[in-house]
Order: sequence, then structure tokens, then C-alpha cells
Amino acid sequence: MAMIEVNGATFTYPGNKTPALRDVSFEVQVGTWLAIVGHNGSGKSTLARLIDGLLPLGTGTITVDGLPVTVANLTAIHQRVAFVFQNPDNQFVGTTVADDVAFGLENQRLDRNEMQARVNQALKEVNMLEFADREPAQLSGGQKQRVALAGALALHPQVLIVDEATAMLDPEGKDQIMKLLTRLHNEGKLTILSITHDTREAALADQMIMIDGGQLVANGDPKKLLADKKLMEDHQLTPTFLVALKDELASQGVTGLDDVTTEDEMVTWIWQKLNSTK
Amino acid sequence: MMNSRVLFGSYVPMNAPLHRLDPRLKLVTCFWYVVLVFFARGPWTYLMLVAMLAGMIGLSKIALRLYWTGIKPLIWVIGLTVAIQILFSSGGHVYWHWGLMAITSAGIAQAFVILARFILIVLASTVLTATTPPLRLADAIESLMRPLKKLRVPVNQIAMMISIALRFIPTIMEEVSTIVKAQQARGVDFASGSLYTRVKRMVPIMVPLFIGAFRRAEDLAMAMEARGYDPDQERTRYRQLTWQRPDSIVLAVVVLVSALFFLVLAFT
Amino acid sequence: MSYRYEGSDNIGTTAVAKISATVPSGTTAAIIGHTGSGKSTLMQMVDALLLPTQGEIQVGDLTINAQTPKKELVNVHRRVGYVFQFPEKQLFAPTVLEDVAFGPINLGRSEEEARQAAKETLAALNFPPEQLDHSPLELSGGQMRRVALAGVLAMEPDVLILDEPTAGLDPAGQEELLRLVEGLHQRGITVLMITHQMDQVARLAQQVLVLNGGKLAFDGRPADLFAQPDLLEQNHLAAPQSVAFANRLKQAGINIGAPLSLSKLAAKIAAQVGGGHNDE
Repeated sequence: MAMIEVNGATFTYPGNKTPALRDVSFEVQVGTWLAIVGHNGSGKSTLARLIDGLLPLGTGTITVDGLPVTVANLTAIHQRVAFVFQNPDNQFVGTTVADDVAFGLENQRLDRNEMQARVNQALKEVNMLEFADREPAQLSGGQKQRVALAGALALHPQVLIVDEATAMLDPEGKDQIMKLLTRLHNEGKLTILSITHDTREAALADQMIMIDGGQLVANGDPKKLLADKKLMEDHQLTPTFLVALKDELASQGVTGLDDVTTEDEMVTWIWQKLNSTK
Repeated sequence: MMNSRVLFGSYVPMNAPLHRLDPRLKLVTCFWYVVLVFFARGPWTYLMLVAMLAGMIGLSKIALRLYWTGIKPLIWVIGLTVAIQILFSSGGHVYWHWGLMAITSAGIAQAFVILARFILIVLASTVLTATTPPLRLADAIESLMRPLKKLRVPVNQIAMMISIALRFIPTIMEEVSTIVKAQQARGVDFASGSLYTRVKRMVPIMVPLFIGAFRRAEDLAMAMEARGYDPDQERTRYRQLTWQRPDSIVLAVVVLVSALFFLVLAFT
Repeated sequence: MSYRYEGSDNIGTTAVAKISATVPSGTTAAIIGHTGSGKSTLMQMVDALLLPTQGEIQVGDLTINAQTPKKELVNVHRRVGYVFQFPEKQLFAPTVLEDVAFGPINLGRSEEEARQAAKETLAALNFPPEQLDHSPLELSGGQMRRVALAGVLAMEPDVLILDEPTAGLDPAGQEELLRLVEGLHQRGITVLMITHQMDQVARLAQQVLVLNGGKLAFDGRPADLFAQPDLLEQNHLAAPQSVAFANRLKQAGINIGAPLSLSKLAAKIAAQVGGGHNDE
């Protein structure tokens, strides 16, 4: 079943002549992790915002969970879609960690007991429960993003959109967020959309679409797309380490690597090669 | 991050009895105390006020030394007010005079009263702010303002504004310090120059600060909308003020002491 | 000329204690460590934005210590350029040219000279000349960063401090910036670069300082650091991708050392599996 259907989506920012997004169509099934990749300014964030109804769609249609994204449905859409933004500071609304996680729940008018339970549950999930009473100034960027993720999860959404949520974090913070997303994905219920230009992040997804100049230029299996050197370079993205290594090895005359699709397989391949020649 | 200096009006995190009281009770009591200060007349009522303050300071468990550092920056203001009072009021025995200025017995008595009032009020409000985090104080203000909703005062929005302002003050302070350092590194010398050049030097700080604040506001508005915030809708509250037994006891004590205060006032 | 810090400092939560190190002139040195390890504190002392409470810092023939009078700090700012994290946040002038000329004017150059310096610096960074009179706020993220960098370079510093220069840029923007840093090295500028990206350390730096809890945990060549997995782990650091892959091969019983770049890694693997011989 499709959780998200985008059909001919087009959007132009007020005052601009060229559209930021032009005739984009794709589907995302329930429980899928979709990576939306593209360089800065390609239109990928605009697309994410349109899906959550944060920008008004020009032409085309978008449905989430069968519900068209329109002004009349905004409340229902915000209840289904949770959003984690790039800047850890600018999305921290509450004066303390617990307050921030509760913010969306207050908007949904939950009662106090239910809120308390959900706040605790969500903070436990991102491993931040002991920080519940901390103020944002006492947290690292990575911790703030985990709080933002807890604020999203507390809403019990069906779709989670993470818009370059790790771009401003150090490697450790990045790693923690990626591990969390992987765990959420493995639990299977959530449909995840991660917007990124980091190909290592995209490699974790089930499906990948690539946006450039506001248009959809590729849609498919990340393993295949990321291995397509020409596609990646044409759209100003760097290939993954594995692809770059295979390429470099090929240029040094090492052949027979075509079936290698993961780094583990590469290690095995080298090992076998060494042991068979001996 | 934490400033070890205690300034007038800053919160001292502790878990003393006074810290645990309902902020609404503390806010109203503080106001009421200021009212009593203006009613006080004669040594007995002042003595009662001092006793009440001593009680409050005792319950706050905050060292007197910290209260002293709280008052210190205000000493000039207090001193100046007292000096003006002594020099420019008339009545009673004249000890010394020069032009418009005169030191009189009435002036000295007046000055003492003002000095006493000043210190009592400053200390009482320091007790309030030292034992109540700004956020709780904002909650109390919102809660006490709630009846104004009937007069179409946008209490919810005002409360949200206060809370967001409190949330972003530390963030913006940090940003100021980064911008100042960055412009210093670009050769701006903040230490010298005429008033005009000093004002001109604020431009490279204020412009980025404002641009940053607008960008932040835009991001924040979108993040709030994504989480279902609608300023026109009623919201439930996660942080709630709960009135507890100690609050009732303290309230009863406040009422009794006030009654006693007015009795003493009536009979002296 | 050498840059030497024997600092000890205590400001707020990030303190730096008794660090002694020398960075020779013309070196690109990477300053790495966990968030809160004191990297920024140390770098701010090198630019005299913070004064050491003990010890001293020497930048060329200038000495900075707790007693250095405020008026002399401008001399340090003249010698050392500091590009803060997300430096585009400090842009303020109505046009690109005026923003870049701001630093030189502060150093006492005439308006004319400052504009000339700004134009030359921007040209050297391949900034499109037709955009000189645009507002810096209308540019793309990558262009804004370039203007901010130009604003510091136009002051012609001998030492340039870069705090996470590629943060927030996309792959193409990152690559462009790294090439820029390589260019600065070729021009003989001493570069001190704070970074979390170990691949950047491996690629750009000749020297690496590892800070941990305000103390100096390592000072030496990147190759020597990355060949010590235990040391990396103690300091919560990752290895560059090529070294990480070599480590996985090592676990499988294939030892090819710690190659710092992809091409070295590939060459070592090719030598092992005899790639060249399969070539017909």
C-alpha cells in the first residue's frame, strides 16, 4: 500500500520565475525508508515541505495515507507526518527537554497523564530520559536533534521526515541519529523520508530518489543508483566509498569486481582472491 | 555556561522549601509584601516586616552572602536616593544648610524610612526571583492572567511569547559573543575611539544579529507549524502548577500575619 | 617563523591545560578532538581573542600572555586570520565588495587599497566579478562561505584558522573548499584547521594535534596517528575511510598497513591480489 503518492507536483516560490520543483511524481510504500538526495538548492527540501503541507502545492497532487495534502486537511496531515529539521537550535521550542517533546502533544490537546507517558516513552526511545529537565543551552547539537526526534516520535506519526537532520552534527552525533533511524526502520511501522546529500546515509535506505534542478532524475534501488558513477557525477554528488574504491581498483587493473555490492563482500572477495592464488 | 556570580534577579537552583512552593503563591505574596511595606508605620510594624523577610530568607536556604552580592550593584542607586532625601527635605531641627540644601531631623528620619523600604523591597523580590526559575514565574503570570481571557486579552499567545523569549535568550547571547569575536578577528577594535566610531562599530554586530534572528524566527515558525501549532486553538498544558498542602499552610500563615500586622498598625 | 603555544586557560566549561606544541611556518595542521575538547578555546588563544591565564603563545615574533595589553592584540589579529564556523553568519555589508574590504579597512588601509585587496582576493577565489556589487545575503550557501573566507584572506594573514570550513556544504561545495585550502598551503600560508572529518585530515594535514578534555593527546604526523587504532578509540576518533577499510582487511588476516588515501589503498590491494598481472 502506498503511504505517500506524489503526482506531477510543481511549486514556485513567490517572486521567482522558475519553479523550485517541476512535475515530480513517485510513490512510497508503507514502512519504506526513502532517501531523497540532491545537492544544495536542488529542490529536495521544498519537496519534503510540500509533503507535510508546510508550503502550498502549485499544481499536481500529493496524498499521505490516502489523504490529499490540502489546506482543509492540514491538521490531519500534521498528525500523520512528523518533521525533524536541519538546525538543532531553531526547532527547539520548549524551555526544557521535556517541554519541547510535549509541545506537539499540547497542540493535539492530549491530557496531562497521556502526555507524561508519551514524553517519557519518546525520551527513552532516543536515550535522553535522564536529560528531561535540562535546558537546550546545556545540550550538544546531537542531543538536541535526539530531542527533536523524540518530539516527532511522541506524536505517533505514520511518516517521519528528517531533513538533513545530521548535517550540522559531529560524527558521533551523526552516528547516533543514523542508528536510531535504522532501529525505527527495523521496527517496521514507520515510513521514513530522509533528505540528504550524504551518500553513506542514502545507502541505508530501501528506495532512493534523486532531485536536480527541481526535477526527479532517478528513482530506484539506492545500491544501484549509488553505484552509477555517471549519474552521481552528473548531479554533483560523490559516489560511495565502495564505488570509488572499485573504480580505483579497476583503473589499477584489478578485474572481476562486478558482483561486489557491499564492503563486506569486498573484504571476502579480496580474501578469496589471495587464498586461491596461493 | 553557568555563571557563578549571582546577580540581582537571577535564579539560584536548590531544593529548599521556598523553591518548592507554588510560584503563583510566591508572586502574589511578594506583591502583598510590597503593599505592606508602604502601610508600615512605627517601629513595631517595621520589626514585623523584618521578621517576615527573615522567615522568607530562612526558608529559601540561600546564604545571606549571596543576597548581599545581589544588593551590591544597587548600592549606588540606594545611596543617591538617600542622599537626595537627606539634603532636600525640610522640617524639624536644622543641623546644616547651604543654598537649597539642608540637613534636618525630619529629612534624616525620612531618609531612614526610604532606606528601610528600599532594602526590604529589593530583598523580598530577590527572594522571589532567587527561588523561582523564570519559566515558573512566566507560568504563574499566565495563570494569574487567565481571567483576562474574558476581556479578549490573548493570554495564550502572550504566554507563548514569554516562553520563547526565555528559551532563546541564552542562544542569542551566545550568538552575540561569536559575532563580536569574529568581527574582532577581522580587526575591529572595540576598546577605543570616539562615541561616533563606537556606535558605528555596532553595525557589523547588529546587522548579522538581526538577520540571524529573522532566519531563526522563520525556522522556528515552520517547526512549530509542523508540530501542529495553531495560535488560535486552545492547547493543553504539559507543565502544570499544582497547589499542594504546604502552599495552603503558607497562605494561611500569610493571611494570619497580615491580620496581625494591621492589628498592630491600628493600635500604635 | 614558528607558532608555539604553551597555554593554560580556564574559561567556562572548556578549559585548556598546559598545552605545548609548535607548528612550523607553512604547515597545514589539523586540530581534532571530541566536541568540547577545547579545540576552539585553543584556537581563540592563538588569535588572542582569549588570553591565556598561564603560559604564553608565540605567533611569529609576537608573544601573547596574560599581561599582553589590549592595544597590542590588533597586531595579532593582523597576523592571524580566523574563519569561524558558519562564517557567512557574520556578513553584514550591503555589497560583497564592501564586506570583503571591511577587514583591510580596519587594519588602517585606505578605502582604495582595501577595495583593491578585496577584488584581488575574490578573483583568486574564482568569485564571479559581476556579483561584486550584489548583496552577500542573496548568494547561495557555498558562495556566501567563499565571501566570508575572502573577508579574512583579504587581510593577508600569515596564519589562517579555519573552524570546520566544510560544515553544512554539499559534496561539490566541500570539494571546492578543500581545494581552496590546498591552494592556501601552496601559497605558503600556515593553516590551522579544526575538523571532525578524518578524511580531510588525511588529505590536507602534515601535522595533527589531538585534544581530549583540554589536554594534548597527540602531536605528530597523520600517518602515525591513524596507524594507532587504540589511540583513536581513546580519543573518540574515527579513522579515515581508507584506513577503516584496511583495518577490516587486517581483521580478515590481510595486513596492508594504514593507507591515507583511496589511491594508496587501491594500490596496496592491487599489489596483493596482483591486479596489474591480470591486465591483458
